[in-house]
Amino acid sequence: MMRAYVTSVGLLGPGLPDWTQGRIILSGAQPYTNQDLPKYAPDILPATERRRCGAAGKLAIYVADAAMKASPRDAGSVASVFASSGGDTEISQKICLALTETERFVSPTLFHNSVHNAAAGYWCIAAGSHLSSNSLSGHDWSVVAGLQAAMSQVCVEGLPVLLVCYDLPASEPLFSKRPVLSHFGAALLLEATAGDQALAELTLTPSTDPETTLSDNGLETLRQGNPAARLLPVLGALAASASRNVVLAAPLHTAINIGITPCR
Amino acid sequence: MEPLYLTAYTLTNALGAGKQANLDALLAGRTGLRPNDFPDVALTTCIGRVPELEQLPVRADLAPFDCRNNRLAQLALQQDGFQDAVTSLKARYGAARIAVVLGTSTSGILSTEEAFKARDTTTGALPAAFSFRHTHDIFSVADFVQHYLALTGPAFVVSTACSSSAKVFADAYRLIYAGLADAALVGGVDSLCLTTLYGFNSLELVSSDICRPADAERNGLSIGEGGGFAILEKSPTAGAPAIRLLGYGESSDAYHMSTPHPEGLGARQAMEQALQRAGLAPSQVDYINLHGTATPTNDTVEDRAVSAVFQDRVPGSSTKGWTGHTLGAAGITEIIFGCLCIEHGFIPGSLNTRTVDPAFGGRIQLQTESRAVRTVLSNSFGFGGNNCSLVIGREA
Repeated sequence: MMRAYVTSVGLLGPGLPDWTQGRIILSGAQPYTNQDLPKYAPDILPATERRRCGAAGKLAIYVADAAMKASPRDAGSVASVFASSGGDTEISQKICLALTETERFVSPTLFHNSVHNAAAGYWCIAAGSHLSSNSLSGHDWSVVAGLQAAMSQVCVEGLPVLLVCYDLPASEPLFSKRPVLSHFGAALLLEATAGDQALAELTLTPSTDPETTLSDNGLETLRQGNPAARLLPVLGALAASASRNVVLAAPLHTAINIGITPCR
Repeated sequence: MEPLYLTAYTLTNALGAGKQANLDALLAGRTGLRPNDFPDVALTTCIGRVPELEQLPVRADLAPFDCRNNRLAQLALQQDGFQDAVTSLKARYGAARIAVVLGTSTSGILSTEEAFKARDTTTGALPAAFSFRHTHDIFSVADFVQHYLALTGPAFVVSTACSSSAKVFADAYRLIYAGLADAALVGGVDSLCLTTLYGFNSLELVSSDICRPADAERNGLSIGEGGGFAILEKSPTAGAPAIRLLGYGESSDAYHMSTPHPEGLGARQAMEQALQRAGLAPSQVDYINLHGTATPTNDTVEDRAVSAVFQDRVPGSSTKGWTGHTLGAAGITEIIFGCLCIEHGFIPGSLNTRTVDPAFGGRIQLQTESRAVRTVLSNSFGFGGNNCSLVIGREA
């Protein structure tokens, strides 16, 4: 069975300003209220890169950095898997709009920021990481793709792997075609062995059960409205330090089970 | 590392549909590049276009997926008995135990470009018939292929720009050896669109001439489209050539979004890691398929990295002069070229190269040459400083 240990968490979403506060809410100890996203800046990015980096990159790097700050490991010493349904769809939209103009000028910065691995590229620069970095999409099932890719890398290569899940809305007219309803980002540092830092053990197996939903209406709306927020039931179990099985829906009506067992 | 066999493979690009068309063009030194004739693009450059795509919609039951990228995926899947190979694979392992891991950089963005051109002049709304999820969505090509072949194992798309469909081999290896799948369908598809043609043009990376990799006067890339697929399994299949993935290496430059590290640090790490996993010394590689995009900087930096690892001992060439740079499909296209080299015993020359850059330290193979090839290393490097090297070889 595929197994990995979560050793730190990064989180940002509406009403979930960081893991310290988010943990209290997601454990059920405090009620969830949907609030505007707090102002945030990915401090780890050098100023020049922060000016160039797009909105999706900033969101992803902010939660990646938060997870690494909560870990004794150096940010440059871990491999990374960035999982996002659409990445920066707003940038694709701007390019497609520019291509309808007569001069068809595509800004060089927009173009290099339009790649799905832009967030990962900026992260590697900021963290000084020369290790393997992956950028994936699995549409609404991107969190499942991220867990499969990151956990299999932990198991097969024995490396610590930072899994970063993030998605954010585009504006109209693309919004109507792909309605991502909010910003959401979360990062899990996954490791092969249970050291002193381990929060919980995760296992991944196929499942035929229906996907796990959240009892809080606000959190359930958040979960359904953003592909990256499909990680919320896993985060809820980590927050509550509870042994749980979480079922995540996967492509073509399949599903996976994430077994969560707290380490402390 | 543990064994992983390429038990079937196929590719389609500007050289033609299927392995034979590609092999014939490689051996004849016939480029697939032509002066730009892509509809509604007024740029002076050469492109590697698959012209028949305009007449080949996707299978009727999958009509919502119809877009240039998925058409190219479908055309590639229809060659070389590949669908029969998948049918037999399903009979052996079951559809749920076969992963689908594919690479693309721009997916079906051409459909969004067209939707924006056709948007409502008063409301700005995109046409009702446009489905983002089935066309432009990064996952679309894996979604399409899963539906087309009725495969239900783990599925995702790797999108790391021009290293995408090389990295899928590493992902598939990990999924299989972590026990999540028994076999994997890997590959990649990228198709021509205005975003890449005008985008690379605004970065001044597109040649107005034909691309000339490693040439002293090279001045940029020619953009192409292509698709390719391979089946990966733990054991060989009777009758199939016993070519194995021997090693993979993945690294990040951590330097700049669109310019490689000046000394090729990340590229070197990827090659060294791939050789280490393969348990091979550099001298045991018979041919290097270079990333070789033909931009002045990229080729110089790759040469520094290659000569640091191999000195001038191993012949290398870029095959971009045949296909153009197929971006997210470059990895799969070029690893299949490597398979053809092993199967048919030849090393492709560097098509369109007239005089090798005198500053180069590596050995550039100028002319196509017949000779036994046992081991090939293939490089794929992308924006974001994302590097992947793969080593394949014939079973001893």
